[in-house]
Amino acid sequence: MELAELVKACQRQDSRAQAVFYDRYKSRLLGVCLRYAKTVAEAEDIFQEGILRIFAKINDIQNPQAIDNWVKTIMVRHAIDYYNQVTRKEMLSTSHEDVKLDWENNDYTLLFSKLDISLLLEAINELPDGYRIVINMHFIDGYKHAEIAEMLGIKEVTSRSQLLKGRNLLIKKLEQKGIKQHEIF
Amino acid sequence: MKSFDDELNDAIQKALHDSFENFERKPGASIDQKIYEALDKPARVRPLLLSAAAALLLLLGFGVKEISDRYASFQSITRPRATSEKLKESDNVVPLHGSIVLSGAEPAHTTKHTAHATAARPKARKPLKSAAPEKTANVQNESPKPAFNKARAGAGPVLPAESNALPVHESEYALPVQVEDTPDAHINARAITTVRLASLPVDLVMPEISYPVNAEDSASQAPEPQRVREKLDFPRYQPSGKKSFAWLFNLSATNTFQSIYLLPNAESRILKVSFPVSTANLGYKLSAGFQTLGFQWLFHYSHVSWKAEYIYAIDEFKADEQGADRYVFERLGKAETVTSKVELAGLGIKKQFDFKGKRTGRFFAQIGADYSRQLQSGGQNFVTGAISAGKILTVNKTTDLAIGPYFEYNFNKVPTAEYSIKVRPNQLGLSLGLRINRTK
Repeated sequence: MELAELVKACQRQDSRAQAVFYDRYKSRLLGVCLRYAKTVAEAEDIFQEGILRIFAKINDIQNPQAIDNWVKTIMVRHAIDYYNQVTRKEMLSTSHEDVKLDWENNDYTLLFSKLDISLLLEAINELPDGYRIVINMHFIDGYKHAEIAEMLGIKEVTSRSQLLKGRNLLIKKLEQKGIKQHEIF
Repeated sequence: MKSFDDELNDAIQKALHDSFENFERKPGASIDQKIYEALDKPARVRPLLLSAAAALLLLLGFGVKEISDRYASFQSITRPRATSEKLKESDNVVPLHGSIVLSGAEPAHTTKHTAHATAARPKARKPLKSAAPEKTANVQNESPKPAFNKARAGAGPVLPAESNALPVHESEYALPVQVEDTPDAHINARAITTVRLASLPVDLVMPEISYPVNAEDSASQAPEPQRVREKLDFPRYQPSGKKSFAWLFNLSATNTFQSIYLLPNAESRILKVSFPVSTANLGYKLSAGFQTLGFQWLFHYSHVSWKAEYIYAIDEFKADEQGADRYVFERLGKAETVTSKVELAGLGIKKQFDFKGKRTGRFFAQIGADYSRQLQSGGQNFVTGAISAGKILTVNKTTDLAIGPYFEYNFNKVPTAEYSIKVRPNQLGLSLGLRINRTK
């Protein structure tokens, strides 16, 4: 079944097509949720709600060829909504000390190049909510600071600041896990 | 030149993006099961929608039956009256509303034309006519002139025996003249001198005006003249009775006024939004329900559509020179027109306030809220607030017609095909409602 036909069948609420559609995207979308969530349980919650949201809005799709990006965007936004509803207060009330890095003796540019993805994910998940969300949005999903600020309801300066602090904390956490820039996995 | 921070950010961005670009994790079987179960649930919503639609149709059907019953009873009442009127006419009895003209105000030289004109008419409907044009009929209370008397004498007993018009009497009481618009009438208009008109003898009780006879100083004892002030006729609120009950049927023609929300999106840039005037913005709303205790409960079906034009930025730029060292830099765009439509069904509750003025009649104001669900697959829920106000017209003893402007505010933003665009389609229109009152 072609993608366009699959989308149209899903718009007709064809249950077989919905199952095929779900199977097509479920692994990729759970991956997105695991990045944005703090825990696996939280990721699964976001995933389940997000999948239903996708099927609820699938009727809005007019260009089925762009469905891949559309599906991912909805899941990211749902994760942000989840974050806004559930953990926003926690983020606002929590202050994190700025992590000082030893810039002179280390070249951190190589640190992320060949890291094991599960270690990276673990380190990202351990970040405070605000840092984790901004790092995901900017470094992985490619949102600009203005867009992040708009979506999270914060100032652009705050977004930049959160990104820098989150980045430094992420590096620190990787170092705490015994990962240095010279280590090759 | 990039700083160290920027270089580090770029390196991290590239590394993380490459790492997580194809990151996938298969969900467990329990999650799959939950999703499959949840996907089956929307099918269960259908019976709800179908039952709501059936209820709406049932109510509409009831309304049609109610109206047809009333029409039938109205006809049964009016038919005998019409028959009796026909009988009266055939019995050569003049109906009370016949065109009876009592006037002898015809000059002698116009009588010929008039007689000719009346002879050409059917006998059964031959009233005595005056050649006076309608304008002169308003001339009143002028004393008759000799010409008038002469003409009247010449006319003699002008009513033919077979005519069903009333015989002419020289009565002081005359009705206004009804005149045929013939060329002759215009020519002879000046010859008409007067038509004496007086009111029919009606018992009018005139107030007695008397003066105190024995009063020494009537001026000092007379009460001070009251200042008569005309009161403004403000319609007053009329609370609905506890036992009042009414069936309601509404039709609203609406026009969509949009508020468009542009959300951040890495993929699309919108330079401009415009709202073309189009029939694509028109919609309607059908409602049926009942009113009790001043609250209206309505099932409704709405068709809402709207149209907007977006200019999407493309990667082309234009710089126009504006004198020395000045230029206007412009990013070019591509226009795209988007038309959207949704069909909604749901339930609403409204509070109606009735007002009544002595001379201005009855008015209403409404405020309420609706809950609707999109009928298309994967539809979303809508919550709207509505206000309406207008005039109540009485059709008959139990049926009212309410007409007035209608505004509906949509609390929800509707997603569009473009994820970064959301629309709030508010409705403004004209509402026409039929209320059939039934007291419990």
